[in-house]
Amino acid sequence: MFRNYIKIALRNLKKDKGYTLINLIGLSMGIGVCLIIFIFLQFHLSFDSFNKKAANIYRVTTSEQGPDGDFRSTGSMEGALAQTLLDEIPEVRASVRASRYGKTLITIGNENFYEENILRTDPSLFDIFTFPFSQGDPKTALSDKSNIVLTKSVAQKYFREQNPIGQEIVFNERNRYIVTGIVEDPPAQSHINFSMVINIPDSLSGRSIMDWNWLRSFHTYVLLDEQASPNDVEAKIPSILEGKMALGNAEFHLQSLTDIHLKSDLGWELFPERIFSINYIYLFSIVGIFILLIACINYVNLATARATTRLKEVGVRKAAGAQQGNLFWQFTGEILLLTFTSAVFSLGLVELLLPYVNKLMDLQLSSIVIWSPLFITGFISFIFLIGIISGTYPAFILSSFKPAEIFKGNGKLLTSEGLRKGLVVFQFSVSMILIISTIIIDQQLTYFQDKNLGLNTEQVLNISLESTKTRELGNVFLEKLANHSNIESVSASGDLPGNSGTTLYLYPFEDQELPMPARYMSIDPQFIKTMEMELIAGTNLTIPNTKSEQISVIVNETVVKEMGWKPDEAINQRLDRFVIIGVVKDFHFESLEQEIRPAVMAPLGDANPDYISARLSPSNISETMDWIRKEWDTVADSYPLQFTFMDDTFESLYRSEERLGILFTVFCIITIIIACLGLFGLMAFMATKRTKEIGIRKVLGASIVDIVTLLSKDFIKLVVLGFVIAIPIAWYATNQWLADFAYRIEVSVDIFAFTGISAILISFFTISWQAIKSALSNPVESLKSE
Amino acid sequence: MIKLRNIDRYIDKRLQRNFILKGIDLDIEEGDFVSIMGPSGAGKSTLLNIIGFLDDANEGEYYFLDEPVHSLNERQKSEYHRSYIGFVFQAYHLIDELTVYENIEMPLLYRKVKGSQRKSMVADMLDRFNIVAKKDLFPNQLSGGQQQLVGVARALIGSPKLILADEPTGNLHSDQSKEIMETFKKLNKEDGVTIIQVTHSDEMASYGDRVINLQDGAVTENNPYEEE
Ligand SMILES: Nc1ncnc2c1ncn2[C@@H]1O[C@H](COP(=O)(O)OP(=O)(O)O)[C@@H](O)[C@H]1O
Ligand SMILES: [Mg+2]
Repeated sequence: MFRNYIKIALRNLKKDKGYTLINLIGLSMGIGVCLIIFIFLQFHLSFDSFNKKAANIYRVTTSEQGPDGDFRSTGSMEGALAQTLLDEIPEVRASVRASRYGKTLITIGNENFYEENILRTDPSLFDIFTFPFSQGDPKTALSDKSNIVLTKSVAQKYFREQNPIGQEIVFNERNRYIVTGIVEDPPAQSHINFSMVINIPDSLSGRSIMDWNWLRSFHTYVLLDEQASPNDVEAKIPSILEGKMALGNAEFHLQSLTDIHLKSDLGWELFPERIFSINYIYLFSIVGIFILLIACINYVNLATARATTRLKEVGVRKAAGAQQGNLFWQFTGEILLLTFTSAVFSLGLVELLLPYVNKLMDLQLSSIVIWSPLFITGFISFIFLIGIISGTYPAFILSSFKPAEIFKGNGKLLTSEGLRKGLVVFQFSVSMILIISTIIIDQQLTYFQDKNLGLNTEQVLNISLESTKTRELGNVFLEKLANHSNIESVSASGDLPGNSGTTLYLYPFEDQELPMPARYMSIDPQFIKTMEMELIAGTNLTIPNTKSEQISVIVNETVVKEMGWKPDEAINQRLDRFVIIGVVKDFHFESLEQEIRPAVMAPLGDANPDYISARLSPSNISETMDWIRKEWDTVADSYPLQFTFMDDTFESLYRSEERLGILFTVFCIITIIIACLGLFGLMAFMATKRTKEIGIRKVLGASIVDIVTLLSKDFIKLVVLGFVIAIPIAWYATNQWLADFAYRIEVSVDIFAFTGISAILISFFTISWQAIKSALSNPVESLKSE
Repeated sequence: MIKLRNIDRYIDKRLQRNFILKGIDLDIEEGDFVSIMGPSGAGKSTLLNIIGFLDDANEGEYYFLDEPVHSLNERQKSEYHRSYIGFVFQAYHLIDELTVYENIEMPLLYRKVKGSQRKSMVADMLDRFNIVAKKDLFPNQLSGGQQQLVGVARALIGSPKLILADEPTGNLHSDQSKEIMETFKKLNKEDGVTIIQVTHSDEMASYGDRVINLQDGAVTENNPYEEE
């Protein structure tokens, strides 16, 4: 029996190649995209779970009301907290502090390099987290303050074939470290990332790190007893700290290790690039479900439409003694055959596409997860489920026909015109919602790139003077740059727009309760010119600004607005300890997701600069760059040149959104292709079914236009209906997304009109293809075939 | 074997009720060879479908082997289709995607006959109807007469006790028709198979023992078994 079913299924699939192809392509793409989304989600959802003790590791965070009244969560803790928790709370088995050491000059032999991601931590790191050693002993590797542990890839980079153990590395030309251990690179799924690990020093600036109420700069993790309840532990913290530190209104929380990646709400993370928003998890899950639904709908629609061609078989089989159940399983078996074949193709598709997704998203997603026995079992059940979902209805419809009806030619009476139309409308609504979202995401991201930032980032080279030595050489180098003809303007500063920067809390009025948080930057007199900012009132800073009582500053428009002045009125006004001498037009110094905040620019004065910015003339940029590199080497000798172009810096603020946007767009396009395939198939089927009618109409004098209209009219109505349903949903969803951005595009009617018209056009062309084909066919041929 | 009492079959259309069959009383005994005749649209096919459980009457009583048919469930009806009743259709109704061999074999699959036994049964049938050479062809590669031979072979493979044939020779020329009628007659006389056929032709009807005339959904003539 089973063989007979398989045989007839295969022959049917072969006979109707178009139908089979549409379903195969649709389902393979649908399942393939779903698998990729699954791998993507799995990657994010299982972050940090490689740690063997993950279930019992928590990060200590506080939420606290800041001086401006807003609640902020932070993970930065006092240096003594970790040890105190370990000593005072019995459930705490181990604790560890971690802080990230910024870009650091390291010297190996007599070569200098800059290294990022240096982790300062306690030896217990290797006890709590699972970072396996390939050389050295995790228990003793950090037993001395002069020890350093390297990752395998960093050891390979600097020492090649040499044994790295026992080698010396010098930080900032002062601190000497001896390599005592080599650890595997932290996995891509670790929210803690590092290339080198050292101890936290005992004291800073002569003061002990363990002093309370001084330094809060350590992310603190605890390992709890297996039976311990994090809520109980959390509740004990305040009483333990009572009398040790000023608690204020701070509330302590224990954040589960595996929650950090997706649910972090901290203002500042150790490795922000390893944090992801759970909203994207929801978004991509929804897209995946929709893609699959649309592919399934194709099957349901085509199969029910085609049911009439299978009716005779149903009648004959029933007359021969088949029960509805037999037939039901026969037809369900056919879709299962189709879905399982598609599933095999989709696995190939995943292997084919994953490298591109990785390149696009800068990830290392691996298809290994889908080859695990657990996943394969799940996947097979899932494919089975898809088969059942999309096969049940057509199979039920088909198997429920009464033979007498079929043989009388009344079979059509029961087919499901209404349902089919409903599903087509659904497909089109979803497709159009996705198109509209894609366009709006794209427009918003383009807007970020094109928006007038209030300064000109093009051709601005920012040189970062990382180490003390190079900072001392900064002014010498600046002089050299200033004399080059291809450099239009050069300036020095202590900070740059696009960096995370420092915030000052200003109290403009004596009796003021809430401060005005302002971004603080120190700049030289050329800075405004180099950045092409616009001074709208007052004067620029001048060089000799000797240590007078009051510091003259330039503020941005936002300060002036918040103070309730006009720009001109602001000049010579006092602002906390500053005097305003100039006002610049607002400029963006953060991502456009954030609203422009008050900014204060004070003179750099005699201080050594941290940055040198040079505006290059657009011609001969590469020659100029070569010259700059050469000059740097003569001035700074063995210190590597660290530079970025400012437009890249700004673009990188949106890089993750941009990447997600592209991925989303690709998925939307695939959805639309699948939906169109379905429409195409449905139309092709309708046209063949009406071949005879078309023949007769043509004999009676109908023109091609008449025939095309006849065939497309009904479908276009459905597309229009789908559009009408899509508008409010897309409107709501995109506005919801845009609400996160302080500077955003207006959702315009144009987008909707454009989407509607293109959807109608696309479907019209899809439909016309078939309609014209049948309209052009020879009527005699089609009439003869009946 | 078949006992119909006051059978009505109608279609309700808006305010109107259209009767296809009205007040049919009919008895057919085991071993009968009955021909149903009558003009097109008289309800012959409908009657045959009701007899074969392919359609249900709206009113009246139908006893099959003294069992009330309305009390049979779907499974029991299928059971009869599998082992007791064979159908021959005017339009042949072969499954286009199956070969001649597979079409004939199909009813055996629903009866769960074992593979080796199936093979010999199908081989017998192919032999009997002289279509061994055609066994691997698909229906659309056969002439109408050949297709109907396959249809008859398919109906007979389950050794049914009752054959229901709706205009089995309607699309065939006279030689082919005769061949099929001879087969029916032989089955009726030698194996005691009950045969009910619908036909328009007096000649075909003459192979049977008894003619029932149907006019506008009612039996008008000739029912020797009518009770008093
Ligand atoms: N399901 C149905 N709906 C409407 N009319 C039907 C249906 N089935 C049969 N009829 C009508 O009933 C009449 C008898 O049909 P049928 O039994 O096929 O006649 P015959 O086989 O004698 O030509 C015809 O007029 C046909 O149109
Ligand atoms: Mg008829």
